[in-house]
Amino acid sequence: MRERPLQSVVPPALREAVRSRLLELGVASEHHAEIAEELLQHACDAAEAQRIDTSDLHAVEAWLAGDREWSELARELARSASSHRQNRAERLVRAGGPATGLLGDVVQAARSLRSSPGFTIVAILLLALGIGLVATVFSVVDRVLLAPLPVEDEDRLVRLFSRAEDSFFGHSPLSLPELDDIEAQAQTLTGVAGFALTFTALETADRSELVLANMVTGDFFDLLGVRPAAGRLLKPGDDRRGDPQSVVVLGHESWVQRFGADPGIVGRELRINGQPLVVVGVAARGFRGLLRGVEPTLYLPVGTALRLGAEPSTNAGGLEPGVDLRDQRTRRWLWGVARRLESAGVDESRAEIEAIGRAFAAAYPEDETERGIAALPLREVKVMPGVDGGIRTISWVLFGVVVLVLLIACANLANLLLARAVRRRQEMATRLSLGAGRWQIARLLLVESLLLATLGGLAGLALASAATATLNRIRLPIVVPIELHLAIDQRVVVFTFAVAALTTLIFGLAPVLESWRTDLATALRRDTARGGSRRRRLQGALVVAQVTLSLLLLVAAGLSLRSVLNAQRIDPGFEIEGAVAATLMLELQGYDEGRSAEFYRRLREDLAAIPGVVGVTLPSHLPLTLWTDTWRLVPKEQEHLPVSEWPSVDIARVDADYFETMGVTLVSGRTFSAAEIADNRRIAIINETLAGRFWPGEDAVGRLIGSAPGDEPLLVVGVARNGRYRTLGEDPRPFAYMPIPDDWSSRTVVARFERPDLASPAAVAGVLRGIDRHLAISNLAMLRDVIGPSLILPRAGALVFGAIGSIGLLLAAVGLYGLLAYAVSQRTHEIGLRLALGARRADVLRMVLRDGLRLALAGAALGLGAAVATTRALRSLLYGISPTDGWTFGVVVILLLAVAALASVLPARRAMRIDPTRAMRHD
Amino acid sequence: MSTASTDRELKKGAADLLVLSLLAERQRHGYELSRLIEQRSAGSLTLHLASLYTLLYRLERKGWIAGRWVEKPGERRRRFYRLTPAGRALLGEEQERWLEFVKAVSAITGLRHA
Repeated sequence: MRERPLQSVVPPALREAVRSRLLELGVASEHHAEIAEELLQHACDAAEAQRIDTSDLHAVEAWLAGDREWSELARELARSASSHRQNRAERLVRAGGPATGLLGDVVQAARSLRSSPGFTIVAILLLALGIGLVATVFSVVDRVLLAPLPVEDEDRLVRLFSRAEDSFFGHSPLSLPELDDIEAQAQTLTGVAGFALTFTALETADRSELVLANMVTGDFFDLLGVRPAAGRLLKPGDDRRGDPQSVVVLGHESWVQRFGADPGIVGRELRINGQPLVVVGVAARGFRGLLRGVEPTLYLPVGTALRLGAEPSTNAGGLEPGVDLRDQRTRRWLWGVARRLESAGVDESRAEIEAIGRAFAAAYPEDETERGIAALPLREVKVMPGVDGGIRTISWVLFGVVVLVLLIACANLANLLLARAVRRRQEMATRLSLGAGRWQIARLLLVESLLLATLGGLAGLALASAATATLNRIRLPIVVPIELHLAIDQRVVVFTFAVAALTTLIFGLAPVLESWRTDLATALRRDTARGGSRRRRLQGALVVAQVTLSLLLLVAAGLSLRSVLNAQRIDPGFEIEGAVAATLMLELQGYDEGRSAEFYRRLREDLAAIPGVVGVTLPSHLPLTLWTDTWRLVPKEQEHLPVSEWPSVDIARVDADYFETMGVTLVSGRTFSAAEIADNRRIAIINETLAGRFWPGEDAVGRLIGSAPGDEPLLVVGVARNGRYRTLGEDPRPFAYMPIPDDWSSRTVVARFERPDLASPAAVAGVLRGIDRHLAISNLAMLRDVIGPSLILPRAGALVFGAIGSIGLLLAAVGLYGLLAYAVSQRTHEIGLRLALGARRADVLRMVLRDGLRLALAGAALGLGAAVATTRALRSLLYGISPTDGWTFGVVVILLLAVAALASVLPARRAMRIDPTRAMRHD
Repeated sequence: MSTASTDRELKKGAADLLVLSLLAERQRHGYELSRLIEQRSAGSLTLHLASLYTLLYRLERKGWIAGRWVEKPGERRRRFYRLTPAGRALLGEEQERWLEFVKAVSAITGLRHA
C-alpha cells in the first residue's frame, strides 16, 4: 500500500495551538468535533500560505495570537451553534448539571446508532435472539429450581421422607401414624402436615372432567402460612377423624379459568366424585402446593377425599373396603412437611427427626425392611429427591447451551463493532486530538453498546414472552398435567437486564480496546494495512470460536436426533400402530363394582361394533405410561425366604383379549380364558425375563409363584415375549400379567382397528359418551401417543439442541459472511491491483474462498475436539448411540463446511467482479 | 426597520450571495472560499473566520449547501461544500434581488458603472 507524505498530517504544534483556542467549543458532540477539525484544516492552509513554521509551537502561537479572530472564534461559533439547536434533548444536556456528561453520551449514542440503521437493526436482532433464548430458559429454570415457593418463611420448612434402600426413588412418602408420631415426639418442630395427589371427577355445568386434587391434612395451610384469595382455607376442624367436613378449597388458576374469578363461588356447592361439597375458599395466587410443576385444581381434607373414594397416587396396593388408610402404619402415601421452631438449628432438628426414625425401626420390627426418616430443607426439594438430580442436570445443560448461543451472538456483535470502529477511527482520532480523554471516548463507546444491549434486551424480552406463552400451551401426553405457568415476571426482567448489561461488557469492550490502540498519526492517515491484518486475525479468531461452538451444539443435536430415531425403532413388545386408548376411573364417578362391571361389559360390545375395530381389551393400565404396580413375587419353592428378599416385579392386570389385541405373543403356554377371569382364578402369565430368573433353563408353564405369605400361589399358564415396561431404553425387566376381575373399575381402554388409517379416537369417545354422558375421560389418544412419555427426554433433547444449534450455525454463517465481506471491501484496492497485474478472476475467487474455509476448518477441528471431550455428558440422554458416533460427527462437519462455503461465496463473487480501473481510483 | 438592522440584513444577504456564487462554479472548502473572496475583491472584502463558518453552517442547515469530508491522495482531508438544487434556486433569487437593489441605488444616486 502506498504511504502518504507525512506533511499531509496536521503538524502537532499547530494542532495543540488551535486546540487550546477551541476548548470552549468542547468535543461533546460529533458536530462540534467536526467543526473543530474543519477549523484545524483551515488554520493549516492559512499557515502554509503565510509560510509559518508549523513545527515550531512558539511561531504558531505568535501567529495565532496576532489574529484577534482566532481568540474569539470558539465563543462565537459555540453561541451561533447553540442558538440554532433543533434538538431539545441537546439543549437539556447543555443546561444540565453533573449528569450532563452521561445524558449527553446517550443522546450522542442514539444519534450515532440512528445514522447507521442497517448495523443497528442487525445488532439488535442478534442480541434479541441471544437474550430472548436465555431469558426463556431462565424463566423455566427459575420456575423449576430457583424461585422460592409462596409460603411463609420457607427456610424453616422441611420435607419429611421415608428412606428405604429398595424404594423406586430412594425417598418415599410416610404413613399418617408415622407423621403423627413425629409431630408428637419432635421438640424442634412446631407442626407436621401431610399431603398427597389424587384424581377426582369434577362436575361443572356442562361437563365432567378428571382433575388433579391435593388431599391435605387439616393443618396443611396453617403450617405453610398460605393466605386465601377468597373465603377461607382448610382448618384442622375440617379434617377431624370420624367427622370430615364436606368442604373443598379451589386452586387459584382453576378459580380463574373455570369460575371467572367469581368471589361468589364461596359457599356454592360443587359435585366431586358425584358428591356435593361446599367451596369454602380459594388458595392464594401463585400457590400450587409443594410439588413444582404440578398444579392441583382443588384441595380436599384427607378424610373427605378418602370418603369420596379418591385414592392417593402414592398408595400402592389399592383401597380395601373397611380398611382406613390412615390407620395403617405400613401404608405410606403421605408426603410430609414440617415447620422448624425458630429457636431450633437446622442440624439439631434433622438429627432429632432421624433419631425418631431410628426409634420407629426398633419399636415396629414387623415392618419388612429397614427404614429411616429423612428431613430435607424444603428449598432443596424441587419435586422429589429421586428425580430432582435429573431435573437439575437437564435444566443446567439447557441453560449452558443457550448461554453459549448468547456468547456466539456477542462474538458476532463484537465483530460488527470492530468493523465499525475501523470506519470511525477518523472520528475518534479527531476527538482525541481535540483533547477528549481516552476514558471519555471509552465511556461514549460503552454507552453506545449499553444502548444497543438495552434495546436488544427489550426485544429479547418480547421474544421470550412469546416463547413462554407457546411453551405454556404445550401439553405433554402424561397423566399428571405439568403446569409451569411460565411468565416474564419481575425476576426474569431483572435477570434479563443483568444479562444485557453483562453482554455489553463482553461485546462492548472490543471497540474500546480498539479505540485505545488508535495511534493518532496512523489513524489520521487512515492507513489500514498494518492494524488491519491484526484486527482481521482477532475477527478470524471470533469466527473460529463461533464455528467451534456451533459444531458442538449441532453434534449434540445430531446425537439426540439419532437417539430418538433409535428409540422409535425399539420394539416395545406390542403393536403400537392402529389402536386408540383412553383411561377411565369409574370409582371416582360414583360407580360401584356392579355398575362398573356392567359398564365395561357394554363398552366391550359397543366398541366392537365400531366399523373397523378388530379387538378390544380393558387392562388395568398399559406399559410405558409411567403407571406402575409393583408386587413381591417368588417361586413357590423359595416361599420360605423373608418377604424382603423376594424380587420386586411390575405387574398389570389384563383380560382374556389383551395378548391378541395388543399384539403380545406368547412363547409358550396359553392366554387367560374369559371363564378363568370370571372365576378370578389364581393364575399368571410371566415374561421371558421373569421365567429365566425364576426357573433358569426350565419351562415355567405349570410352575407356582408365591405372591404373599399364606396366600394361594399363582399358577403360571403362559410365558410372554419380553417387552419394555417403564422406559424404552431399559434393560430387560421381569414382568407378570394377572387376570383383571370383571368388577375392576379403573381401566385403560384399547380398541384396535383393522388398519392404522381407520383408527379414530372420536369414534371411541362417541361410544364412551353414548354409555355415560357425564363420563370423565383421561388421555384419549392414539396408542402411539399414549406411550409418548417414554420418548420425551430424547425428543426434547433433539428439539432443543437442534433448534439452538441451527440458530448457532446461522449466527456463525452471518459472522463468517460479515468478516469476509468486510475483508473484501478493505482489500478492494489490493484485489484491483492484483487483477491489473494479471491475476485471473478465478484466482481471486479462490483466494477469498480459501480465507473463509480456512477459518471454518480451524473451527471444525476445534469443535470436533471439544465435542469428543464433552458429549459424554449426554450419555444418559442417549439411546443406542455412542456419544462419539462417527457418522453423526461426519455429517455435522460436512453440513457446517457447506454452510461456511455458502457464506464465503457471496463476498468471493463480489471480489471476483471488482473492476481493476475503478478499484485503483477508489481509496 | 432600523438603520442598523437594515445594514445587518444587507451585509448578511451580500455574504450569502458571495458564498453561493462562489460555490455555483464548483465545490470548495472553507479556506478556499475566504481566500477567493479576499482575492477577487482585491482585498477590499474579507469575511471573519467565525462569520464564514457560521454562515456555512447556517446555509448547510437550511439545505442550500451540502458539506462532506473529502480526501485526495497526498492531501489532508478537507470539508468541501457544494450547492444543492435548493441553493441554486435561491442563488437565482438573490442575484435578481441584488441587481434590483443596485439598480434602485443607482437610480437614486445617479451613479453609473464606469
